[in-house]
Amino acid sequence: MTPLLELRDVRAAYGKITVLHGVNVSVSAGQVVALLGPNGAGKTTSLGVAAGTHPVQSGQLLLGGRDMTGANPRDLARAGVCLIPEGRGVFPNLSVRDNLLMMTFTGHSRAEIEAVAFERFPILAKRANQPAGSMSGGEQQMLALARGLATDPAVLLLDELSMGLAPLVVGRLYEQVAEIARQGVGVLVVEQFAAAVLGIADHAAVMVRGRVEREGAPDSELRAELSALYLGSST
Amino acid sequence: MTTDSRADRFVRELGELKIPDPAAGRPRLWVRLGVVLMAAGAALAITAYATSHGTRDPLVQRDALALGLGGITAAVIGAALFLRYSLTGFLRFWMARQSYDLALLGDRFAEPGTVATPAAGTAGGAARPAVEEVEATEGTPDPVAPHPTAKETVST
Repeated sequence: MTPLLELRDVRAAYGKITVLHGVNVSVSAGQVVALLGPNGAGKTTSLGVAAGTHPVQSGQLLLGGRDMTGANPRDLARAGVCLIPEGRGVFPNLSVRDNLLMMTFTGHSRAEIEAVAFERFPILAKRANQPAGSMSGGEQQMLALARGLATDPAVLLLDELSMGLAPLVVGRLYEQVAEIARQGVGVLVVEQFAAAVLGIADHAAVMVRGRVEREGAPDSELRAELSALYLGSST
Repeated sequence: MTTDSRADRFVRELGELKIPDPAAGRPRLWVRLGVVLMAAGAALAITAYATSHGTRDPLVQRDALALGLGGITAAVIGAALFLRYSLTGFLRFWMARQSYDLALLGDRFAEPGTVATPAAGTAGGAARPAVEEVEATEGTPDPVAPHPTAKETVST
């Protein structure tokens, strides 16, 4: 089956500093792929390339088998690529309902968006009139996810979902992510804290200094290698 | 919604997408063109004025008049281009700045130890803590430690 998303030998840079040195990652429909690695490995940049927000020096961004390198991020978003950036990206001074209302630009009605959001995250219905900034971090992340789902994504790109959240909350969020993937969405998750995502991932890739050093099923061997990478020792 | 249907629709919609040339540098070109037009237009108008002033030949004066008007038009178009594209850049920056400030404000709400704030829209108007205790007290998770989100939990 053709992957929904594929980065093929992608190189990318910030100015003169190259941060991705030939990254290969692919995500199929219904699959959760975890992109792991320490700070500065190039994980977020890879997501940016996948969302079309970061230019590619060389290599290809393939979506559904079609070369979309250099495509406008807005076009990719409209087609079904959804990036939920690190730091949630909700409007803190707007209410939950108004945050969801912002997603009506996708062409879906307010009622449809709220139905999807409130069905998946019932807590948001209770907080509907509350300013998003006054909710807990986990609830804000739920709102960010709900806003992403409102775009009816085919590919979901998640950046550091667990950032600043308690493990218990992260666990609940990733259960939702697994559920979303089961509905046929391809999910690419970038995480610094591997344990959070390896529980639901079908495939994992470990990035170090702009390269995918190791990939495969998230088994104990990969976990051990990951520990070695984080702790700076060899296995 | 089945796996195939969404994936197929995605591929079909991508097929219908027209991929424009990546033209990240185009706004900058328009700004430069605007500056050049403004300068050239002003120079042309001044030159035309000097030319018409320095001759008694009505034909030359009329030519200079036409050139002067052309110069003024070019300067106006250049100014419009410059304003359009430089303002776009500025407003984008301003929007990004606004967004960043709002995010900072949100983070301040979520800081551990934040005092409870009354929450609008809660049942009976009861106050609700802005930050859940569990988040305020938990430390940074171990990167490779086993996590409650085990695959077994999800699949059951």
